Formats: sequence, C-alpha cells, structure tokens
Amino acid sequence: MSDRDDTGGPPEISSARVGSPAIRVDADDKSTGRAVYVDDLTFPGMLHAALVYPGCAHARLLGVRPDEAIRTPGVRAVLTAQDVPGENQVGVLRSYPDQPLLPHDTVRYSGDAVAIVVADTGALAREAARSVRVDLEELPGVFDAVEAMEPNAPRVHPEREDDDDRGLVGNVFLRERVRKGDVDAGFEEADIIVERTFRTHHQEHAYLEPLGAIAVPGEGSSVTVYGTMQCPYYVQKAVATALGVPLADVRVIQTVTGGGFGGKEDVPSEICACAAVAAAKVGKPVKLVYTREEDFERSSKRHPMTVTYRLGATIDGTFTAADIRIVADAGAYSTLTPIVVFRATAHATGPYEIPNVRTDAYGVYTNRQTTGAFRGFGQPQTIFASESVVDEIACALGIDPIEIRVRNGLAVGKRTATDHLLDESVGLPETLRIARERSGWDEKREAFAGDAGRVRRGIGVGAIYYGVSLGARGLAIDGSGAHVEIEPDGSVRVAIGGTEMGQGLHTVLAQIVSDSLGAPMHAIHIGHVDTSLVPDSGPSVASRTTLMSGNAVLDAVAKLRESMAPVAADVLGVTAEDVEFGPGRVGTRERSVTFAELAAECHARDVATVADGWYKAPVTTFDEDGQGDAYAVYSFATQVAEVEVDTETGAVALVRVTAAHDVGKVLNPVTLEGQVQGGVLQGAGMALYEIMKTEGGRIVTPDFATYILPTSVDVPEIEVAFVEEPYSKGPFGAKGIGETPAMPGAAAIANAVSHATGIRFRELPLTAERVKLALG
Amino acid sequence: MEITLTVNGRERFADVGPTTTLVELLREHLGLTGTKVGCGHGECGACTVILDGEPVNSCLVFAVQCAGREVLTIEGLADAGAASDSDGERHPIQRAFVEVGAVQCGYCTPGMIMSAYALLASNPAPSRSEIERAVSGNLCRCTGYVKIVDAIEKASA
Ligand code: FES
Ligand code: FES
Repeated sequence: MSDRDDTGGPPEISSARVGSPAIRVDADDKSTGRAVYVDDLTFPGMLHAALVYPGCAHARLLGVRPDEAIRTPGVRAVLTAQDVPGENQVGVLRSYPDQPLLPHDTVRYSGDAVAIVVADTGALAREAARSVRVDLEELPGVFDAVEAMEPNAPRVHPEREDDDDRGLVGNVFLRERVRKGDVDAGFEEADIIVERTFRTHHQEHAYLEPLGAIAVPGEGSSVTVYGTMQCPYYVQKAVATALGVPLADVRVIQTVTGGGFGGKEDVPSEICACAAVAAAKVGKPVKLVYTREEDFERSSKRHPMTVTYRLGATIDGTFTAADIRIVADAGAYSTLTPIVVFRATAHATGPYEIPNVRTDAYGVYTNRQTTGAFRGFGQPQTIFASESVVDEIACALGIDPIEIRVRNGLAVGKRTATDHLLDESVGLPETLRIARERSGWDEKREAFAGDAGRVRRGIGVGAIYYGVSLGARGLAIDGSGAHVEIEPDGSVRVAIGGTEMGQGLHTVLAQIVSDSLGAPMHAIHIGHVDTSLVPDSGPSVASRTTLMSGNAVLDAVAKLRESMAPVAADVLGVTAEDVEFGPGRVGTRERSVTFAELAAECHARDVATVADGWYKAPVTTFDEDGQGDAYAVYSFATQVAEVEVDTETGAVALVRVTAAHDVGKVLNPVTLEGQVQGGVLQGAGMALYEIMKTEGGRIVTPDFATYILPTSVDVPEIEVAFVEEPYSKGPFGAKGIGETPAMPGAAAIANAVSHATGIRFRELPLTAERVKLALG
Repeated sequence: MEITLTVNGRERFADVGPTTTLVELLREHLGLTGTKVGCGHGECGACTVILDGEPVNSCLVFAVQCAGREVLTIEGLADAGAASDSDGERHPIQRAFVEVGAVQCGYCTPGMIMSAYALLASNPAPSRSEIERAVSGNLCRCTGYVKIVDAIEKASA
C-alpha cells in the first residue's frame, strides 16, 4: 500500500445511467465518519432518558416508586403511565389497540418498560432507572405459541373478549386463511402425500446501530423528533397519539440509519414516543438511545413459527393439494403480526401452482418479546417448511429437486394460491434455470451423493416468491410522495417519503433523476425523510421503496420536463416535442444546453422549477377465503447452497451459495449485489448460527457474545445473478429486492444438509449439536 | 482527572472520570463522533480505533489509560502519516470502500476501516483469508462482508 501518493479527495460521483454501476452518494460521508447518526446529534440543554424495566415477563403492576431516583442529583423527572398526556397506546395497527406506551396495570414481557427517567447524562439516567422500585405481583407466563393455544394457558390479554364465531379464543387473536379448490379431492388424486411439522425460532435483526431518538420541543405544543427509523410517518402518528396533539404539530426527521431489515419498521415509534413524552414533560430536548441489551429486549424479532405442511403429488411430480397450518408467536403485543401473518398465509405454498389449497394461520400472544417485520416478513419460516417438503417429495419420486420446482413453479399464465392469474414479470423459471447452471447443480448433486467419508458434501435449493409492497391487507397508505426542486445553478433538491436505511435508495433515486431529468448525478441532493416536506408516503418496507419513491420522483420529473421543455426549445430554436433530457444535457442531438444553463434560463424567465410527485399502488384484493390478486407484482428468487458436514462434530460449513434473483430491472448492479450478499449471510445466520435463548421469557443471549452472528470468516463463496423480467408499472421496470435475498437461504441450506447426511432437519438452526445429535 | 493525549496528530486535554471510556472521551468530550458504538462491550468492533499503532475496541479502554498515548480515529485517517492537514483528503482504504461498494448503512464502516488500516500497516499484502481474519471482530449486518474484503484487498494492491 502506498500512502501519500494515492491519497486524494473523495472519489468522484460520476453520472451513471440507470442500470450501470453507480458509486453510492452517501459512501464518502459514511467512510469518513461525517455521516450523522442519531447518537451523534446533540442539542443545547439536551437531557437524557433511560427506561425502567420490570425484571420479569408477566406480572400485575402494583406501583412504581421513584422517590429515591427523583432525589438523586441530576435527575429531572420520572414518568409513568399517568404522565402520558395523550392516549397511552403505541401499536402501529389502530385496529389492535393492545399495547400501552407505558403499561399501567400489567407487565406482559420482560422488555415492557414501566417508567422513563430523565437526567442530565445518559449514565445518570440509567443508574437512576435501576433505583426505581417497581412493585409487581408475578403471574404465570406462557412462552410458547403452541402451548399458549391450550385452553388452560395463562392469558396474556385477559381483558380481550373471546370471539368464538371467528375462532379468536384465549391467546389466539388472529386468524387468516386461504381456501382454493377442493383440498380433499386434491389429496384423493395424489399418489404420494407427505406431512411434516417444522419449527423456527426468534431471529434478531442485529442492525449495527441500536435504536435511538431525540425529541426537541418547539413552539406551542409542537415537537421535532429525530431518530433512526424506517417509517417516519408511523413515528409521526405514534408521537401525536401519545402527546395528544395534531399530526401537524409533529415533525419527524430521519437521521442516517444504521440498518433496519424490518426491525426499524414499527419499533422506533415506541422509543420516539417515549422521548417525546419526556421532552414535553421537561420542556427540553431529550435523547433516548438503547444499549445493545435493551435493543435485544425492546426490538421486534422474526416470528417463531410452527408450520405443519401436507403436500400431495401425482407420480409424475405434479402437485395436487396442499394443507398448511401456521402458528405464529406474536409475543406480548400484536404489533405487526396481523400483516406478517397475512403475508405468510398468502405465500404459504411457496412459488407453485397448486390447484387445491387450504391454509390456516394463527397469531398467538405469549409473554415473549414482540415479533414483527424482519426481511422476508413471515415467509422464511413457511419457506423452510414448504421447500423441505417439496424436496422430500421430489426425492421420494426420484425426480430432481430443481426439476420438480420447474414443473410446478409459477410462470406467466399460472395461478398463485390466492388464485391470482399472473400476467407479467414472472422470473421464477429463469432463476431456477440460472441457479441450476451457475451452481453446477447436476454434476454436484450426483458427485456429492457418493461421499462416504467423515466430511460429506451436499447441495440444496430453495425457491421463493414475494409480493412487492403492502398488498391487500396492508393497513398503511400505499402511496408515496416526492418533492423535486431545481435551484438556479442547476443543483436539484429531492425530498422523498421513503427511507434510506443502508440499502442504497438515495443512489438509485439519484440515478433515476439524473437519467430522466438530465441533471448530472453530483448535482442531485437527496435528503433523509422530513415529514414536513413530503406527505405520508407509507412505510419503507416490503421491498416497496424503490418502486414507490422511484415512481413518485418520476411523476415530479415529468411535470418539470413539461414546464422546462418549452424554455429549452425556445433557447435552442427547436420544437418542444424534440427536446430530450439526457444525462447532463438537454436538447436535441445537434443542439443542446447543459442542465445548469437550462435551470438558470428557467429562473430568469420565472418558469416554475419545482414539482411534487405522487404514486399510488394498484388496488389489490384478498377476500375472506384468501382469494384475490393479493399483491400487484411479485419478485422471485432461487438460491442453491453447497455445504460440507463434518459427521464427527456435526459442524456444517456453508461453502457456496448461488443466488439468482428476478428484480424486474437492475438499477444499480453494485448496490444490488451488495444487498443480495448481505441477505445471503442473514439467511445463513438463520439456518446455522442465530438463536435467541430465553428463560422464563427473559433473554439469556442478550449480546453479541452469546447471540452468534456470522462474521467475515463464515462467508461462503457467493455468486449473484440477476434476471430482469420487467414490471410494466415499475420505475424502468424495477420491482423490489429488499426482502428476497434473506428468504430462500435457510431452506436451501437445510436441503443441502439433508442431501449430505440423508437426514431431514425440521427445526432451525442447524447447530453442530443438533446435527451431531441427529447423526447419532 | 485531567489527561493529555494525542488524537489524530494533535495534542488534546480532557477532564475525565475514572470510568470514562476512550470512546466516550472521543465522542462526548472531543466531539469526534465518527467512531461508533454498536454494543459497548467489545463484541462488535464498531468502536475500533488505533492506540499507539494497535487496533483496540475503544469501548473497552479507559480514557485514563490513554494519557500520554497516541490515538488515531476515522477522522484522522486521511492524514495518517502525512504532514499536511488539508481537508477533503481520503485514505486509500476509504477510497476503496467507496469505489468497491463496501458501504451500506455505514455504521460498521469506520471501525472496519480502522481494523483494515491496522492490518495493512503490519501486513501490506495480506491474503484474502488474512483479511477475513483481521476483520472477524468487526460485525457487519448489511454487506455479507464480501465487498468489505474486496475493498481491503484493493487498498492493499
Ligand atoms: S462498541 Fe465497542 S466493540 Fe462494540
Ligand atoms: S454496512 Fe451496515 S453494518 Fe456494515
């Protein structure tokens, strides 16, 4: 490495057309330490908050005694449920009002904080929080969803009335179903039927930046909240609700966000509302940042699911019927479980056309940490089940596992489990073909089967589909806004409602603006979300953000082009219809001006160079029987995993992953590849390493020493391939990618381990102990 | 108690408590917020800085232990080994991270780059597996590490 000579300014952000590699617009700030995350911010007079925890998972809350804490020098206030000025509710789904911001009579899980301490420093606040006395009468808890369904199980929400007609009894607060065709007749037709039960566990998001918020009181009852988050508009509503003030009084500004993966979808509402309530009480800015242990306690997890999957097929491998039962552990509060379970139910068959389907799903309360959105949103669990059973049927019939997926897989003209007739953008067959070819599947499948030594190799496949955006049961707004403003010097300010959380949104939007407006990339400035600039644009989840914000930006750009084209035409002496907005220049092939020149001219002529854009997703349906075009469009993926299993120790080494993803259109191949590589490793974590252990509902693996994440030495060789089956309503044909990379991995790895060992594993993760035990 | 130390080539004074950690000193006393905290217990590497040439988790080191010593953080990296103090300069490792696409959410990035710096200082041409081992104490949840290792390889070339 040479030192001085190579040193120079920041790498130049050159204009990159949509589809070509672009350097991330935020990479320089992030690699120099200049990017400002929430904990890097401070305000004059700012105080610090800490939360008071109950120390048990289920108890009657008799009282909170802050006397000692309040007498500590430097402690400014201790707030309990009575101090929440507005409505003491924080759950994102208003139709499930089961979650108080601060519990007032019952504690339902170990992270259910009962009070907020405000002090001069964070250390002081945390120390004082530990000295707050919490009077509790412990109640028996229930920590497993299947047990929680038993008639005599302790009830997590005894205040809820049973609804026998809808089967919502005891801890079961949610049911979803799919009914398609005649399942009994379908099984009659089958030559083989396989039924298995699978279990998955809590998975932690483990984004590297813990949750944090700062609330700054403003004039009157207004407040500005800064925080690390995916969904500023959720936060705005939660803060307005807790404070009892109009939405217009709450401004939410997203800070640079250090990862989300779903974990910063609804959960930031809690921490932001706590900070806001505290700030309103003391009349000063208040910062609340979780320690890693608190983040483990208070953040949502991937739902543990118990999935029973019954699949029938004829002798030639054609699927005839599927009967699926899903039990999802929601934890103490419903949070996003209704939406997660909807998605799991709608997609439960996997990406196959099956004429007869019966799926029943249950959302169940337990006294565990809440579960919610995590990359894949309820699907990686059901995929583990469906892809394992599909494999088992293939093997039993002597059909190649990829072949059976091709035969039954979705394609244009086929129907999903919700009876959605697919008419465009179905890249599954191509992802299967590419994954097979690039992984060397055919040779390896055969060669590895012959392994007889201590180390046995295996290769397995997982295929998935994912409905992009919120779908029919989404309860948030499925529209998105953008605001584009051109300065006289040709620099462009873009405000959007979708969040950059690390996935690369700002860079692809800059590419889209550059490509469609003609401004060079370096002139485009995209800000983090500020709710005062762009109307409610829904959440940044469900692989929807590039699609939604991209289309909203394109809508604004179209308006700008309309007002600017006549000016360009006039200056150049051409007709407005002939004016093209290319990268960097505007005009015709023969005559053009730079974008900056055109911007100056528009300003000189008083032509408006500001526009708002809006995009609304198509309406989708999902009826009582789970039938309808549940999502507007689907992303598809196939991943092939290669493993080596040490039969003496049970250790599974992930050697190679081939990931083929249909994204509609590749906007930025570099960032896209990075997203897939990261997702592959998260899938590997779910399959092999990560397990959250609890005792009596309390986490006993609350840190990175005990909750094991994959590190740089665990990385397999990863080959990423893209399929572009354009979506007619997507920006440049793009669909979504956020979720899918993390989805097929666990299933593919489990199938590979089964190929290596001949043993089917039906519970994750495949730790050495578990594998060793099975090997005997 | 008052301590004096060198941070990014400049002499700094600070009044710290006996349990103040180096990362608190950097972030809260000196306003150098480029160094991140992901765990506070030496388990994630986000707080990695260079102390007298060695990479350390600054959340595990007490500020008082740093009296009279030299600390290099992400903010000082561009100028590391150089005399001038001109703004806007980038170290080859930083450039490589940007160009290769090794940055996503960026929260691990400063610590990761400091670990890479320490590696390349002692081993200018490491193998891929040496790089993987050298940053195995730095967690990244976004990238799957592939492009991070690519970037360090590129910077070493
Ligand atoms: S913050 Fe120091 S190692 Fe995690
Ligand atoms: S880039 Fe997000 S943790 Fe590494």
